[in-house]
Amino acid sequence: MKNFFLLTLLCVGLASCDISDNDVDPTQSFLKIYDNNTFNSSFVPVDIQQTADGGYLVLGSTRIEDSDFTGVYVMKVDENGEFLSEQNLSTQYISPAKSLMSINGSFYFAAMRDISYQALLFELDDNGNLTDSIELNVTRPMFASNVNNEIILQSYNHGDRNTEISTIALADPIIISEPTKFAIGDGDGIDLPIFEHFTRTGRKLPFFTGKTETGLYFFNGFYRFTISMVFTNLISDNDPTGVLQGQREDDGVSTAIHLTGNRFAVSRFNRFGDTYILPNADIDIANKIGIANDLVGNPFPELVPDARLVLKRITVNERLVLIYGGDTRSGQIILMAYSPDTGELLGTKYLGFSNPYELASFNATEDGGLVVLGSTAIAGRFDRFSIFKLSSAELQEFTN
Amino acid sequence: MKFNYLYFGVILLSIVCITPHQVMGQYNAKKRKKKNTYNPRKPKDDPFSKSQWWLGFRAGANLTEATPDERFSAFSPINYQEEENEKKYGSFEKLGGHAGIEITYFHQRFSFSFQPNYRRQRFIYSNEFLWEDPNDANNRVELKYEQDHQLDYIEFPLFIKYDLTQTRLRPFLQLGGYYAILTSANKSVEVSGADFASGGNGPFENEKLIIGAEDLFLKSSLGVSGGLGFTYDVYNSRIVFDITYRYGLNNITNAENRFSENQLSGIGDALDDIKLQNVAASLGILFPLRYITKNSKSFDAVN
Repeated sequence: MKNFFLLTLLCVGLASCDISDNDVDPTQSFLKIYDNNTFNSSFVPVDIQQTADGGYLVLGSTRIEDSDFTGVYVMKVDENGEFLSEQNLSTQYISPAKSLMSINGSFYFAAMRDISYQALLFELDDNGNLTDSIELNVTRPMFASNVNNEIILQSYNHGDRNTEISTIALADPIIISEPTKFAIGDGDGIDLPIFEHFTRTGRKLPFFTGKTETGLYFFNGFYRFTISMVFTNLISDNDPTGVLQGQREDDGVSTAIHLTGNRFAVSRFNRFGDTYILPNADIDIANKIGIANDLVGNPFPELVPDARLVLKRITVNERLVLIYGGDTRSGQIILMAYSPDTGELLGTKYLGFSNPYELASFNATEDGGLVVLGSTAIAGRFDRFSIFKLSSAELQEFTN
Repeated sequence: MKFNYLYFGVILLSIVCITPHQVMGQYNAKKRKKKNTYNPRKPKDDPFSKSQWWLGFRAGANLTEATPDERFSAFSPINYQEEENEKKYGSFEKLGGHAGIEITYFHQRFSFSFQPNYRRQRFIYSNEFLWEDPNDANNRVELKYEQDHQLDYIEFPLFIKYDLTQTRLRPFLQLGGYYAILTSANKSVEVSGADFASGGNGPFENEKLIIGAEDLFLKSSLGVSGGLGFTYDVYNSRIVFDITYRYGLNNITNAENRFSENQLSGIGDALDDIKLQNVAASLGILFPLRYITKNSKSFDAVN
């Protein structure tokens, strides 16, 4: 009997280890849904960045009752994901463009004025307060990226029917380049899709900008009537070094990151709404008549039609990993991790249950985890921001 | 689930094995009495005469309440107070059940009782949400999420009992503690509400959604317990009834999986850090072991 009790006590001791190990840092992993109980309010997330205090800044937009456009909205949350403050700039500024960029301790994004559509670059502090706004010499900003503290901005000039690329160096003083123009061509075929992109009433168009390690710029936007991935030195107008053409707004490249040389991680879409992923594709950047449809990749019927993927290079446990994010037909966010060297699929992770979720963006965090910004429709109808924070262990689990 | 069947199997086997021995033991005891086989040694002289081992089985019903230590939610409100949709816990509302065996060592009014059992405990909470339009009273949606949790444990409680009297009907007090291992857990949510915006006037109720929730809870649960009851001797067996209160000492929520493994986090659910309180009523029957041993021919099993 004595042995029996000793054995029981030993079992209890071993089995109850989970009680003592149950202290978890709440900043490591969470899901938050940011609810506003006003019936008509609606929020569209754009991008997220971690701030120096461990919290997060969210760039988004919100519905404006008397406008077709959505207004600029900035939200600050703490390191646990709890709401702290909001800045609703929607009465003056509309259609914030992807991305929210962290440069030298401040945060920048591009948006435009209502009515004039004049583009501005906004500067935010850690708390999401607007500290500066800079008038840019372009209209209708569509996408901005930060490459080594240089902002590459894509915008649309409706009057001249051009896609325009500008660079902004955040030096003292700030140097804003003259926009390099790429003619879309005559005709009003692309007016409606661009308008619907800005008003967020139609398909989200896959605009992006970037730069290779050799200094070659690239963008995905309208050029010669089609969505095209264009390579350029930004020296003169309408003079790309290479083009990967799509077909109108119906097929083309949807995301791309430069890996090395002619190697790119890419995704493309076709007119049937299918999405193909090519984590290590060879693109001839000197070919002026390349066809996006010629890129062979893995189809992902699991993704929603015309999926707008987010592609980023994330360091996981001192190893570079490509993460593609998108929306599934079942209303979840999917993250797919690939090796940039071999193109091998390392793992997938699904986020969101019960209510439908859509991805806006994701970024690495200081603790080695990942923060994922999305939207969800509470009760199937109220569009609200949501943030998933994955711990470094959770990130490693699906990227190994 | 296989484990549950196995456990029930062990209990059943124990009962099947024990019961014929008890019946035979009682039969033999009666025979001995008839034959007037008498051991002149008085029970009080025997150091073991005031001691006894009892073995039997018990079953009953229980009610549970969850108490939050620290609250969590997947909702972070922007323009209203967090308390408005805070969880409201039901207090000992949902009936659970338990069954197991009891092994008790009795000595001079004191008993040491080990009562391993399989138990199902249930607790509930609900959250309410409201969306309205300040300019149009018809634009209004009310939702209520009612969440029912069903936790199955194998519990190993140990009690010290003290008999208040030495009569045939013996009231007793008991104090002890328990360790329990979670074997399965389910969680269901029922959404109801009123949707005036869609033209509805009355309440609606959606289909219940049930999910496995084993990963949301810790495997281990520890606590203290106390209660009162009585025993009643019938022939050479003892009927026992008790009401026991259990107070959980540890947070049973798995903090690591609070959001990541919760399929209902998508609708805003996140388990709080909770401790369980449980009130259980049990009825059992115990059989003495000692009179069937070689050296206890004359022993009066129940005194």
